[in-house]
Amino acid sequence: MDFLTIITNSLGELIAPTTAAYALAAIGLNIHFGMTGLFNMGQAGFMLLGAYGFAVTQSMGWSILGSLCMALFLSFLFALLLGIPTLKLGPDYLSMVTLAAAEIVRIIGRSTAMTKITGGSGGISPQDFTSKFEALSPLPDGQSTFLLWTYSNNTANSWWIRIVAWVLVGVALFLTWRWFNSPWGRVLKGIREDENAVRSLGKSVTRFKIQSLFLGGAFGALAGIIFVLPRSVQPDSLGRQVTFYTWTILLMGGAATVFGPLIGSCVLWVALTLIKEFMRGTIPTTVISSDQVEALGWVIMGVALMCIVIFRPQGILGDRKELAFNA
Amino acid sequence: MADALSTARRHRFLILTCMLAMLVPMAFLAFPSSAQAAEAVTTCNPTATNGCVNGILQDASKQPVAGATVTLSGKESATTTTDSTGKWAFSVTADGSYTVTIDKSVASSHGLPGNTATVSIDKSDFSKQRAVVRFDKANVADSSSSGKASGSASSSSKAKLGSSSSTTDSSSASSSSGSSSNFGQRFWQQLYSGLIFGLMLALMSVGMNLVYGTTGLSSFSHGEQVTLGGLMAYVGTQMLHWPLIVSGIFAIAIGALTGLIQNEVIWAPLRRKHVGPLQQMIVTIGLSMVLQYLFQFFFGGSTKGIVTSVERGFQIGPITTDRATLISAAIAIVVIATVTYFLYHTRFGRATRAVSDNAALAAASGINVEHVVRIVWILSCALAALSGVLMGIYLNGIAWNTGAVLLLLMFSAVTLGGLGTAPGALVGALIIGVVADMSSLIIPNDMRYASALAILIIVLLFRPQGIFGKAQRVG
Repeated sequence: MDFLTIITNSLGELIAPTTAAYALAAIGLNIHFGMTGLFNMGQAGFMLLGAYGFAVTQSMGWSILGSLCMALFLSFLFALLLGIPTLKLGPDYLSMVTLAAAEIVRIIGRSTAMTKITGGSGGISPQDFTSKFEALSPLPDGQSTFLLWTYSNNTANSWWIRIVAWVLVGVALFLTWRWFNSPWGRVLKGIREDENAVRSLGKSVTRFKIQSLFLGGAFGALAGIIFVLPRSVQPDSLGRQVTFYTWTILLMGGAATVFGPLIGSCVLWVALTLIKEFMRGTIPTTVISSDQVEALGWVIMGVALMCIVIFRPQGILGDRKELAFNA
Repeated sequence: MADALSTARRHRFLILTCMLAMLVPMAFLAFPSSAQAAEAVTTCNPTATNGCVNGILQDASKQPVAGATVTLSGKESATTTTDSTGKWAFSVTADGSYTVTIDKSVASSHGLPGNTATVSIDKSDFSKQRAVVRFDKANVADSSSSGKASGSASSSSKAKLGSSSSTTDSSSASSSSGSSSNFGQRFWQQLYSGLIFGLMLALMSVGMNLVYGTTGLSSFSHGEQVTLGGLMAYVGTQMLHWPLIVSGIFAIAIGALTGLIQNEVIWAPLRRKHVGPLQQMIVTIGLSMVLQYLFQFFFGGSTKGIVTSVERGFQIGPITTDRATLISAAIAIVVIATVTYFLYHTRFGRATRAVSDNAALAAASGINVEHVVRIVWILSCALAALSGVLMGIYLNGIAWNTGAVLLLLMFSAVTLGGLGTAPGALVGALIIGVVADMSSLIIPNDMRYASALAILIIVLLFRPQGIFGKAQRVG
């Protein structure tokens, strides 16, 4: 195994749509947890709803804009549904209910009874929902090589998806930066630090929490769309593991910071791919099989998550004093 | 022109779909390669895109048969040879029925009852995405005799052997196949299996609830403690060839040991550093990932059977059951009763409840809180291991992710009953178990866990503190 391939593949993760999707999801989670102190354990549910909302309406022939609206609308409904019963309760309840609700979305989506709409556990294959998105591309057909990487311009795992995904991440980062420093953001931070203090100022804490839940969830829904565009909609690939990875990314990069989710996502995926490719290249398959390498990769990720939370809870960028683990 | 464009794109998609099939697993999920047709693999994990037909070829005295040729036919076909431990596996992509055949001379020279078996694969059904074929069991047929017998016999045992995470596969399989059987009988059968499942769930949840009560920590790695118990029992019975009881005790001992080590190495230092419970909760998520994939690393993705024999079921009134299930349920009841007695009628139990109520006050009145928490961790992990053993016997196997699948149901049971209350876990678990299994009478079987989780959300709407919880002002 030559090292150039390993390094090219690993650095390719820097610009991969999946990295962008996780960054977006983590930006959403940052609004929930970093800004407001909400313990959302159902970010994958927002992502899956976004993906379904987009893909199902696309396969029914809606326009891109209509499908986007549908995805956002579904995530809005989900936020409302989760928010109303749980936001008045403690953080434990919110985390469990969001976790359960995301799982409900996945179980219903993959059920055989829903095969006509969601494709059941097989999901929705890309030709049913990506053609309009690809038709939007201004790039010429074919392949392009940029620096080390060669991808097709428009189809599947393409440059077009990468461009759209990273523009979205950029916009989201800009928005969160504005929001962090806006009066609205300060209210959210106030809620994170001391709900009662904010309430005594006459603010409706529940309303602000629902707004935060929805905005973060909307980024989650967009992340879901980006996530499924280069592959297919598969309910099981957006299970609760995805939520946990998003948490790892957020905490690694640093919660309550603007660039934390971006840094976390890039570092995590590049490092994980590097380690896995390296193991694949150096350890013969007779000793450790390919599946086992995959498993080891996740073990390393779990250890990383534990170590971050124990030894550097503020993450790479965060400020220890600001991090609100006292929710 | 638009048409021409779209056909051109569509054509390209045919190629791209194949590329995607390779890209998706590479991207990040631990999916094995999902080829377009059946293929022989070393180990097979069922996913959304592929099912598994696998088994271990053993002779009549349970010795592995290496190097035998196994042929798969039916919807898709492939050929493989067994490895040094007698294992063989096919990854298949189409739903439908498959026939597995070994050479007749191999079967007769190793004293096997038959050389062919027919199984059916349904990727969307947890209990049917994997079919395990055992040629040393009576469920296979001799190809010279009629093939009809093999179909029915193997399908009933497959539902038992092939289950990884579904809970009532034996009953649900029978209820779905016998659609003519009356509603009343299915009602009682589902109620019964729901109660059994609820009891096992209660056994897991009690420990989790005790930990929550004393330390305020919702442990996401509790599911892995359950898996650990099952897998250790598998190590005992299948790898070390110990009797089941000894293996069970071994599993519980290992479970208790991990509880002690965990508390000493991770949780006690974190408590000393005054790390908040939510932060600790994220540590448990990390721990759960580590353990889960370590299990996959060491034990592979397949379901491990703790006991290899299939119990013969019998009829009690309107319900069908078997001896192992009844004994498991009895053990669960006795253990839960003992724990309840321990909590309410012993000095140490009172101390535990005092710590749950108010740790600072308990410490002030002379209770060694750290000691109580240590015992609670040991007890909790031992109970989880026991429930893993029972669950593994009840489901006829345990896989690396069995506990993770059950984790949410445990959370629901605990939240439903009231976080941190002792009887709450039992009642909550029974409700969750019964609702999950009874709901399959009305809604599709694969959505039954969703109904249990929906119950959780609905109850929280009206009674946020759970059934036994004390109402407290939050926010």
